Amino acid sequence: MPSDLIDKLRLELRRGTLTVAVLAQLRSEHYGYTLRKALAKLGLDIDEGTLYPLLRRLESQGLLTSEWREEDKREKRFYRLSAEGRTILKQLLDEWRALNGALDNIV
Amino acid sequence: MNTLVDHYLLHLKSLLPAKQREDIAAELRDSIRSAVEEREREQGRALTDAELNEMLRGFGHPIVVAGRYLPMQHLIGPDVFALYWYVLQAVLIVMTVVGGLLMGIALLTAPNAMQAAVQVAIESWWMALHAAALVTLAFAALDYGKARFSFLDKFDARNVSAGILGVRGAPLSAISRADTVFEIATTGILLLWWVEWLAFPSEWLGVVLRLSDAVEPLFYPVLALCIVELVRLGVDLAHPYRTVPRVALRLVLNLAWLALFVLAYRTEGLVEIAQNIRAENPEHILGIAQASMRVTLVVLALVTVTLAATDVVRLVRR
Repeated sequence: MPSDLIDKLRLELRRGTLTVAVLAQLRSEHYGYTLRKALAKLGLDIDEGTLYPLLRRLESQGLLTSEWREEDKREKRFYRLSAEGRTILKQLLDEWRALNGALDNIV
Repeated sequence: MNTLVDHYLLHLKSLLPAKQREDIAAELRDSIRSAVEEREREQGRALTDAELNEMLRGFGHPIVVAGRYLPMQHLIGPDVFALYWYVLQAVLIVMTVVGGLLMGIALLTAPNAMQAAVQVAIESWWMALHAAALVTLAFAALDYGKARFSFLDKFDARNVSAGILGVRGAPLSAISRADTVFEIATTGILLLWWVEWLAFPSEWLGVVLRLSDAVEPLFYPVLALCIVELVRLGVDLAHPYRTVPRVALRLVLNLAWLALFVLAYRTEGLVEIAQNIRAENPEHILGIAQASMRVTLVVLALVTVTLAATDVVRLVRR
């Protein structure tokens, strides 16, 4: 039960931060697989079942653009932050820094 | 590799929205292939089926993965869940009480008491199940249509009701809009049934029942009361505060309802058998129906007396 609880709380804590991390990482172009690897290398593991639907959702919200292109003789879907995504990311990062600062003060 | 991945993607595709199906599957196929190739490079050999299976398990069950792509992630969302739960509880409580009363009547009056009680219990269970399903579907439709209850967004803390059982200290001047909506719905259903614009399944324990001509003198009084009640409830919905004239009006209306319930109770033969479908002893069924009707009238009268007494207390305190 305590393990279930910490998993649930961890999931809640991560949910919002994943969006910020994905948007920030897509300031440079990536396709799904390299994006996941890049995030993992920076210390943020995200499984495919979460990442790909998130990318779709962010694209449908106009925060990302995507295009199919060939690389290494295979068609891949490349994602990049849109102009609107940049604006939103800046606002989210401001919010994140404010929250982080407040939390630092609290704990 | 291809067979297992194809099998996985085929299952996934069958669950995805048609318009995005090929696109999503192509992207996932590339991701899986990239992951497999990297692992094979690391190990210097092809992956076994068991290793491939383990990798696909990491992607998630097709049902779970497909669910994340669907626009609707839940049947009833958190915005309306509390109200849904409140309404569902209210409906089930009413149906349980009514079912219990009918079972009690069957046990006390039927010659084959146990059989009749079990039959009533089964019918009550099905009715409760249907009612719960209808309430759930209605709220799912509201949630799906992004319908919002404006009073949930624009709530005024002074108007919030104390819930179905109430708590001490609830403000006397507030009228719960949820209660008003419930009353409008029940009064509306009563009105539509009374003017025969709404028909409920009339077969009960093998006979078709209907109200007899004995209720005719009550037709216009009930009709008028329903209409006045709906107007009063409409005012309550728009302005959820109690005032002396409105409490007085509710008191008068409750006294009128009480008089009608007493008149109905004293009228012989409120219901009659329109058709016998499969009952062996229709007269007995009619007896149960008439007894049920009288018990219902007594319950309604008691509820009405309670409401009237509450209004009297409110007026006196004022």
